[in-house]
Amino acid sequence: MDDTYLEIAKLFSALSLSAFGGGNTVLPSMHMAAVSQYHWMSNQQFLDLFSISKAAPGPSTLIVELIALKATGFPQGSHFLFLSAVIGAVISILAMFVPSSILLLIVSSFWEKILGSPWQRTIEKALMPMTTGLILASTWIVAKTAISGWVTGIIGVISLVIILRTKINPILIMLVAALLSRILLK
Amino acid sequence: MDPESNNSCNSSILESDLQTVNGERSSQKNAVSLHHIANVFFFIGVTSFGGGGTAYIRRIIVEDKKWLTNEEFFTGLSFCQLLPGANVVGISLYIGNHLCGIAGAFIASLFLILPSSFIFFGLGYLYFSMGSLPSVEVMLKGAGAVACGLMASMFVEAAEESLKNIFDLLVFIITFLLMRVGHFHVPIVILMVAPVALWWYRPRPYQQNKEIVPEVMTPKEKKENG
Repeated sequence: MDDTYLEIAKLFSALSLSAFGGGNTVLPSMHMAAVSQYHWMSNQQFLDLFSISKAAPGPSTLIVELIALKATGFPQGSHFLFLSAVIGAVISILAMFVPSSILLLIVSSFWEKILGSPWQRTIEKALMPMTTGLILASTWIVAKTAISGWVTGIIGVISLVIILRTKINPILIMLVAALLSRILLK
Repeated sequence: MDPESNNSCNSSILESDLQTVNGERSSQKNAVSLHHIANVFFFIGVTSFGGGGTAYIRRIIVEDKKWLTNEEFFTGLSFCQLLPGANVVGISLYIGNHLCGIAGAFIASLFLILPSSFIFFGLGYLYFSMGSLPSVEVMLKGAGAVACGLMASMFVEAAEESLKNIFDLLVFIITFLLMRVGHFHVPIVILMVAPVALWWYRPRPYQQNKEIVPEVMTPKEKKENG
């Protein structure tokens, strides 16, 4: 059991520091580790956890918590171990978020110190168009999975117009769209 | 909470706010307390569904609350892309740090992650004890399409904010092509594009001289020049 804690801590802290471009980029490594390397779960279970992490509110990178919950709380052939699951979940969250957060805080603090300097304007002007390119690239990826036909395409375009033109909270639009797709995409 | 929590979390922020001479650049950060940050990020954490989390955060923080300008937000987002880690957590840390320093960063990320982590724990428990997934997939399709629209709206805002000349447009197109057609990883793309852009926008000597100009003829120099 203690080995599992250690494995979780090592795996996710390493992934935390290699997730350049966002948490999604290390999903394949997570998949490999959880299914093939440590045999914590089946392939189907991992795919289901992925769906849950997308559907549940909050950062989808919290999939690490679901993996840890299975590895420590539901070890093979055992009933649910509540305390182990809680410890595993806490370890996985700390391991996944603390290392990358420290890096980001160092850069952010440095940034706040140079506010107003000529180099600050330089960095801002230089990074902005690049960021726009990266945003379009990730919008593209989201669109490829989210837009799967006429209905989702129209919902996507209409929601874009509503979001740009009004101040309506996107969550309301999502709720309406969820009900709409339930009716239209039986 | 103590009564002071409603005041500004850091008086030095007021000073730095005054330094932003340009009216467009100044945001309302001097009015934001840790209490506000906790409230808003708790709300964001429990209401962000179906991807596009950073776009949702921009919508709330920049457009609704006006705590950051678009420029400040997108600069923070570029740091998140430059560094490893989940983007939604990264941008929360950046926003919190910008508003209230390290304490703000800690509160923002904690209130973003902690409530959701309880929900994840509950859902994970239900899934593994029942062994199957409730069929919400059809409903998620609609929500996912809206998340896509949300991301696209962030792209529109970013394009308006950042593409000011031909060079910006070129950097934008090349970055996108390197990602989509070249299939390079994000850090590689940044390492290829950023140096050129930084060089292009480097602080020019004449800009620095502007500040030195009034001091050019100091009494000492007058003497030396004869």
